[in-house]
Amino acid sequence: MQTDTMNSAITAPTATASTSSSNQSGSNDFVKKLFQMLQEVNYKDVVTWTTNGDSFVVLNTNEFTKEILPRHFKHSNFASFVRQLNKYDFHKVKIPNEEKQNYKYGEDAWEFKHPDFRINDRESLENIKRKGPTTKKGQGSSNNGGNSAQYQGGLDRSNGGGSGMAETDYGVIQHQFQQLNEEVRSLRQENKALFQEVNILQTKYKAVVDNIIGLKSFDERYSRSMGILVNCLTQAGIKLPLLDFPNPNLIHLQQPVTQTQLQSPTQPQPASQSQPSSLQAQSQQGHPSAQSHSKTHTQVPVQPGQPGHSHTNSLGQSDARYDTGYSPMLPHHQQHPPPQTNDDSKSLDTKVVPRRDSTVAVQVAPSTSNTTGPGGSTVARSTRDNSTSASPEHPQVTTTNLQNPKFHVLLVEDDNVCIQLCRKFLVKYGCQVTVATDGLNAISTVEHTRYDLVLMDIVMPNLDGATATSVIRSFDTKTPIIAMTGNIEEYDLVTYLENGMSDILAKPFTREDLYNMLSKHLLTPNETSNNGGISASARAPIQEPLAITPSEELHSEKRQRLK
Amino acid sequence: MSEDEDKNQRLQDSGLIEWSVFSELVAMDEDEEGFSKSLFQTFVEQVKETFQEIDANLESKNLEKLSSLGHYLKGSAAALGLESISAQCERIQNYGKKINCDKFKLKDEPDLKEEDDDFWIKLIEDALEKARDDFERSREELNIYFEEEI
Repeated sequence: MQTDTMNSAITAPTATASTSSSNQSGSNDFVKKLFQMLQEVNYKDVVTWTTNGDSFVVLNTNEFTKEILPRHFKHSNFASFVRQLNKYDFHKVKIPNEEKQNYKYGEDAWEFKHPDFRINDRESLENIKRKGPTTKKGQGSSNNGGNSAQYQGGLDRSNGGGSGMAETDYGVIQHQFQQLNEEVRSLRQENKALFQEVNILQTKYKAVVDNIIGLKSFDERYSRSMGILVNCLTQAGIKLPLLDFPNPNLIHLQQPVTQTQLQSPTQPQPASQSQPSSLQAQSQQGHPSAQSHSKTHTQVPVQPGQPGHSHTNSLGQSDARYDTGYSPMLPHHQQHPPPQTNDDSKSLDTKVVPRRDSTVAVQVAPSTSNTTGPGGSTVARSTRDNSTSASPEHPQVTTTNLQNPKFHVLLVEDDNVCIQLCRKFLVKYGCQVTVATDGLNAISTVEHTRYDLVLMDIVMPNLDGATATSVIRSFDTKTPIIAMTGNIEEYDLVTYLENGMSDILAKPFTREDLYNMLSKHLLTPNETSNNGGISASARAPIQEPLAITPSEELHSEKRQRLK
Repeated sequence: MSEDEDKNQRLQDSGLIEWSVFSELVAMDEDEEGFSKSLFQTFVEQVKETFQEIDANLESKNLEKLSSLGHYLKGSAAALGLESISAQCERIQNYGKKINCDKFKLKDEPDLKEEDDDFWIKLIEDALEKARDDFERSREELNIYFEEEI
């Protein structure tokens, strides 16, 4: 029994639990107590200095543990005592097996030695310090607070020294666990902060993109106006110095295409009408492929109507205005001579700007877009430029009139087949349907007309449906906007909803799918009967955009001045 | 009447068109004669143009553009229930984005790697060929159904 205890004590030399006494003092009290204990002559049969006086020996561990330890160290745990000695760098003096028989203190004796622990040498005691590794343990225990103290107490009370190792490991693990926990917590916070940052950046990015789009279209309008001005001046016989216009085509490479298309809807003016002067203007634009581009300008002097178009474009709203058949009024717009148009377009509010951008983005789907449904469907897909809406054959925004429409629905879609089909379904449901063929037209249309519901395709030329929706939501939060899309991945859906979509209708959809969606978001005919007239037929502008009022005023003002 | 049923059965049996969608389209003719036919005529025009554009973009190897053309035609075909055409267009859409959605393998050019744009061009060519084939077959059947060249 006795040997057991001793062996286990030896196998646990690294265990670092401290006795309560040393815990309290913090210094080398333990060593002083030990020294004090060895002064006691009564103990010489149990524990005593060796004859050399440079080590001490425990002769009877049993007696020592039972009688002396409690008296001096307030515990009766020999293993603890040995650990404590180890901590202070005492070493057990090893007696080789062959010498053991001659060892005068007996085979069971424990001899401990420290270079500074000598008989009658109290001063050297101060040199005895706790070992390095112990301090580590000390830090650990101070960090862990009560937990670890408790654990140490438990260890002191435990009889088997062997379990000390495992318990130390446990303490270390516990400590590490806490550290990891804290790390996770801080990482979480960091992550959250980053997430917020990204959100902010995203918002900013969006605003910047909006601005750039606006600036682009401003730029285009300026350059167009300049071209017109140059033409006018040349016409008036004023010789112009060589001008250094930046080439807008360098920014939007595909602009020539756009311009061509801009021209095509306005076929009435034969290209042959281009005059030498126009060529000059063209050369000033400095772009070889700007042929069509220049032509648009060329026609200006010949056909006053042409500049009027660009005016209409910039206003954009007129599309919506006239889409129900007010087109006869268009000419009156077109009568304004070019210079005026310039001013008008300049004076436009930024709100209108994104619309003009149609020219920029159009190129996305070139030739398909021009398709006009053979079956008499009137929609020219993505007619690149709002000017097209001025010409009745290629409207950008068309409305199917109905005798007594229950609802007025805006269908934003670039695919002729889908337009025909969806419009048919909607008309059958009792809706008056206006069709816009890209996001930009959708925005301008919604700006001036109240719709009971908007069906919005996502992938479209000029401006995608999701972005268009987020723009619309900046001034209209009520109108239900339903995304029609084949992309029904979860990620996309979230994006759509974040952009302000009210609901999502997966493509392709059946008539029933569509009707379910309609009945979900439209008031029943009875409910609408009161305001149905307003919403559908009268179509009073709900929110007169800032842009139109001033420019229109300016417009008429100028007109009068000109007269 | 029975002649109509024969026609219906024939088109249905061709498996080229999703019948539930098609019958819904035809039902729209009730209050507008020739509606469904005009719809398919629009589609035919659209397909012709889009195929041409795809050809041109295969030439210039503009994958991005090819993808968007695929997406465009996919939508119209699906709306009319022309599912096989729609599926081929979806392949074009995916290949244009360098997504090998159906793990398609090129048999005659095993050396072409995905890093090479030509790999995707080849895949799109395959899908286009099949789409063309489906389109021609569908068109023939629809000609018979509408008793007119659409």
